[in-house]
Amino acid sequence: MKEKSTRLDDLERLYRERYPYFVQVARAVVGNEASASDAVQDAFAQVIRKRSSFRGDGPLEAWVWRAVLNAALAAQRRGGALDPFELAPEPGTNDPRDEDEEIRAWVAALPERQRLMVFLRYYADLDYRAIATALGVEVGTISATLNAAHAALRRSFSAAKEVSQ
Amino acid sequence: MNGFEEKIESFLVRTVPLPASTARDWEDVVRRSGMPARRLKRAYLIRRLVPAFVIAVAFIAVGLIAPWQHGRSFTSSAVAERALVAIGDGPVLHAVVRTPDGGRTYVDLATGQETPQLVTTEVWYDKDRRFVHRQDGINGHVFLDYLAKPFASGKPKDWPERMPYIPSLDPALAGFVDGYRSALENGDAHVTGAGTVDGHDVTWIELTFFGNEATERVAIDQASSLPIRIERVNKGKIEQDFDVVSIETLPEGSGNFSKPEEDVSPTRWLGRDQVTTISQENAVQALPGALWVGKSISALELSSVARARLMTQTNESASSYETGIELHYGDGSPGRIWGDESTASEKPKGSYVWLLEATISNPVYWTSRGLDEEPPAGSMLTDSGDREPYDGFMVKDGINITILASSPELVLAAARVLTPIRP
Repeated sequence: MKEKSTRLDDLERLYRERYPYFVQVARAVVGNEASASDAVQDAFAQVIRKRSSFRGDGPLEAWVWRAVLNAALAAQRRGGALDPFELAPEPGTNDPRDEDEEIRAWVAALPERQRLMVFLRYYADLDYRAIATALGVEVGTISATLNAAHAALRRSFSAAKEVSQ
Repeated sequence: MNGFEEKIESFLVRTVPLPASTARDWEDVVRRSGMPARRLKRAYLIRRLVPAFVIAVAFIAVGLIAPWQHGRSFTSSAVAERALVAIGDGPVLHAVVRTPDGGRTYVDLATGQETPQLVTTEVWYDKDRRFVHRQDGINGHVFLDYLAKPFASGKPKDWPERMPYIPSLDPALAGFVDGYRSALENGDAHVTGAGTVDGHDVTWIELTFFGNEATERVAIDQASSLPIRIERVNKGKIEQDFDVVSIETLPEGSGNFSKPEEDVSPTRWLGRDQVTTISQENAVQALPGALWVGKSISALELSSVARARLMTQTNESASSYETGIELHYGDGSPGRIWGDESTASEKPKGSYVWLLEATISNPVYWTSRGLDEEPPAGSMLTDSGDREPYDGFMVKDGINITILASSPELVLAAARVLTPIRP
């Protein structure tokens, strides 16, 4: 049963190496670290149970990311936690620059799937192919969506500058 | 990452910083998974006994990893044994397999005859070092070429630096370097019977892995003792099959593990904007040679004509722009490309035919890979299988045209009557 032990070890190695990033993304979804941490534990428990369905066609990590996102979204829906991107910045903790507020508003307004794309892109540093695998969509969808979202934010920046001038 | 993206990343990280905490209890994960306690105990013991395990491996490696070197006294796996002998006893596997490319099929416009496209995969797998070099190609064009090594190095060119990569190989292929005998002995693989594949008498070996949820069947040619077909079976249904074109093992240190020279599939950024409704006369001005199917097709009237700006940018290239022309017959409105989530379009309610045209194959219109996949003259490429929107891609009179329709019959009907737009 060499494959079984190898696959379990691979998951454990991934868990230990990338744990903070999984929790970071989960927290961005769930809103607090305790729930995020629980979501990551549940997600890895899920992939252990389902590891037979991993075919090795794509990166193992992307497959695990999908489980983490699903667990985080489930936790968010159960708990109704605060969305960190809809909160006003705490006094003294943030430099309230206009651009920050533009980005905050942009993230807050993103549909769920686009927001997950952004989190995987910027928090997890995944490339389009890995994001596509994690979200179960075509690579072209990721590039088109992020490009469109960036373009919208750029326009927003430009408009803000024009107003300030 | 440019300055703009750095601003986004900076804000996101300030809002939700990377936690300082290290990984929580892995045993907690395992407990949550419901894995039996005896396995948990085994995993614990393995970690504690790693040094002894490594020493033991040094003694038994030959028996576990290279069973064929013991001769043929092991009669319980005679078929696998003969197959192992047939492909040799080297630690490096070199194989070429072919498999249908999803639902991608060439359709002859005159006859309707379908020719499924085959992906050829050539793989070199070094069992000892866990190196995998894989090249996937179609019609001689390599679209995927990567060399993968466990962690840290040799990942695909665009793989994130922090992202571990664990190369793996199809278990049925890996079996020829890891040894079928152990799989047969522990009950994960067994001979299931005889049959015929492409006129060859074969013996079927079935590999079951991980909880009996998935299996692979390997057809061993009774004459050559070489594998000629691999089928992935899930819940009784064949999910994918491979024809084995060639398979051999090579000596230690050999095989093609040289670094790919270039990224054969650069990341592309796509864009489509400035969508404007125009007249059919202006369509010809916007895209000389633009095609249509007349003012109606199968009782579907031409409902709109639009022009769009299409943008393509690869990793290191500047943006390039071209003009796209979009014609809707039946249900559909300008600005919508169903199937592209970025436009948030909804499924059309009725029957429709949409024609999306440009002078080059822009991925906005044809989202799968394939700038080098021009279908032969008089045919079109379809990729939708049994999913709506049904699609077809073809090149006619220098125009790349994607057809989206509510039925495959409408796609074919439209492809057959494409003609230059006449006022």
